[in-house]
Amino acid sequence: MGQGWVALVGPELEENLSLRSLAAMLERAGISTRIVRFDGAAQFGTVLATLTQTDDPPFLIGISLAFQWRAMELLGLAIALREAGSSAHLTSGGHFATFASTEILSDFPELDSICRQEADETIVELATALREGRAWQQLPGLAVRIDGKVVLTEKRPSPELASLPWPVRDAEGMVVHGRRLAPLVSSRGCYANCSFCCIAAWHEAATPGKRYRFRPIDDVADEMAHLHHELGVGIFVFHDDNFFLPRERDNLERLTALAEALEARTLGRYATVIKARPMDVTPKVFSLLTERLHCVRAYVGIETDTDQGLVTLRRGLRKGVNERAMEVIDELGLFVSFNMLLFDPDTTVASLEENLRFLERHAHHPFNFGRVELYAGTPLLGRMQREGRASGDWLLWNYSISDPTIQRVFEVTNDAFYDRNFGADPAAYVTMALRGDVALARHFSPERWRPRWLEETQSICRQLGEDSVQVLRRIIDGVRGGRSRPAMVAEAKAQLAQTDLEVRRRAKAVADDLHRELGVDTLTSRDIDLATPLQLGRTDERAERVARTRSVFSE
Amino acid sequence: MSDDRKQEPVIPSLRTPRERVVDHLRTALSVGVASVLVTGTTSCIVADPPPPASACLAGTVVSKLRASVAPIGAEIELTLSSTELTLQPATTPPQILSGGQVRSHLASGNVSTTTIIPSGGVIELHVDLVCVNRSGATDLSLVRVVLTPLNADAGTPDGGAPNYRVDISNP
Repeated sequence: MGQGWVALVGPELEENLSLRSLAAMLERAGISTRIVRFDGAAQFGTVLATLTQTDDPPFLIGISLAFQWRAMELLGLAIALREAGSSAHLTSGGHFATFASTEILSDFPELDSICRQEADETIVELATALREGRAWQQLPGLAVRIDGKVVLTEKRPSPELASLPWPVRDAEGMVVHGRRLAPLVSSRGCYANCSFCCIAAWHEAATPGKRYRFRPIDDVADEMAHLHHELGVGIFVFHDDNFFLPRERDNLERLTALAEALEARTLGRYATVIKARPMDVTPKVFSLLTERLHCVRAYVGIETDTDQGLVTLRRGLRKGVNERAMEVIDELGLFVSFNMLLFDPDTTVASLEENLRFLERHAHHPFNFGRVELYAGTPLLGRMQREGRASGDWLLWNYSISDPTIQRVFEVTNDAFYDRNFGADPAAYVTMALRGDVALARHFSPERWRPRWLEETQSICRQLGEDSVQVLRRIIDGVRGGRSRPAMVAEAKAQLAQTDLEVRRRAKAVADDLHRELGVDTLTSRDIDLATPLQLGRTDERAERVARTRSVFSE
Repeated sequence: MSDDRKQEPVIPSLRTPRERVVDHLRTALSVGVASVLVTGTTSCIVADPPPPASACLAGTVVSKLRASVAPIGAEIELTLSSTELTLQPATTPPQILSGGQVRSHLASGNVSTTTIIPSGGVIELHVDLVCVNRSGATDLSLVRVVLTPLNADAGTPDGGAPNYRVDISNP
């Protein structure tokens, strides 16, 4: 690395497409680049040593700040790098860094700049200017500090996707059911405008009127064929913000073209994983997806099934669309998981109960739920700020639900369900992993696949889902009856823990069966029944497994 | 953009984003990371092993705390306050010790926790605090609060509202 090198730091639970796309651009410009994995605080020491305790430190360090909930660690890393003596140019980028660029640069002088919006070209120009000792403060697409004030430089249009190189890949990658898995995108942006999501605002800000762009089909097919033939990839996980176009006929045309392009490239057996909005799920489109593009799993963003929630979350669809989507999914027998934002600023007891009925109807699918959060750049944050209801600050916004009964229900729920929904090895992800195992087994080993695996998995999902609904209803009743929060939490946690244990035992039995029959390592942990992670002394392995499940089978 | 973030309990904070990031960094570094780093604006040097929490502030935190106890129905509320320090609950999960579920919340610079009144006996609570002194130095401190019932029937259905002796110490 004679002319110096660039470090791109961020999570790599799976191949980080954002960082690897930037790395590909830098490499194409002849600038050596390394991805430095930083999945969590436990890697602080390793990351710091890699970036500072070397005779050849990087001259530019890019810190990925896509997710707001990881900002504490990543901004902390910037401080730690300076304290450890790094003199590299520190920049950051990603959704959160872009929307909070002024606040971040004001509060964290350790950072020199922020690459706003899509940084494919900005990072190359910045690195080139730094390496050549030229001025960089005027480059388009940056937030910089000049005379102590934060200045946003000229806006940079989003790049043409057809002009971009494919993300860099390693020789080895994540392997699931004996097949290498690779994430990829066929587009950037989303046609929707949900109030809790910053994607539309992000793309609208960069290129007004063009909030989603697609890669040429042949380019996508060429990348998939390359990954399949050269790197042995058998599972393609599409991480498009939205894999679909607004109209069914356009989706049919595009997906047919992709299927034909892949068939012409003679891929062997492969599977795809996609994300969809409920309105994208039509019989024609999803039949095409499953039959010709070998889709084994769809994340469907249900989020809410009430008139109130659909308005608050600005989902842009009518009541009934969710139900029809789930009917299509069930008819095709496709593995689907979904998330519900049961709590939003306007949730009422009636709307919460309505959403619980939806969960009950579809509890044979794995799902999770939580409260909608106020993320930077989202219309919902703007609304709550205008209404004077957003508390906290740019690093972490908070709010109270307008209905005090629901606010109290949320508080009890948050305490009671933390372990099941978001804990170290949450049962909600156990069912997701198990359903994934069954779907992959059915796709890749149809001759040895057993229908009992699916029946039992759906039964396990239903046990967990119905238990969640039952406990939520009990919490609602308890709050209405004036019960104390600690008492309700304690009672709920006891029931949830008991059911979680049963679910883990049943899931382990199916996973063991699958392992015996197929000889594959399952996504579902098969040591999940009796001991806690600490008792097992295998926290890292379990965390890794949960992370893998999340990266593959959560949104 | 949505993500599958962990839904941590959200507690509003009086500290600035930078102060919270510094605290987070210091906590992260104190958990098994062999590095010696000065953490930004605080007066602490984070080392491996880290210094005792109270060393970051002049004097001990415990000596600067006051406690009050208020039975509320089947629960008891403990409020920690200080004339010298601004207190906030650390954003850790609720502590569960003897006495049942505890939840911390912010109340005008004090920290209150509630717990179910047990059927008699001593209640021992461990409370994670973020303490900020007048010069802005910030510290994380874990304090032990022991509540000893003064009337024998305290907490029982017939015992009425219990009175407690409060002892605060370092754990």
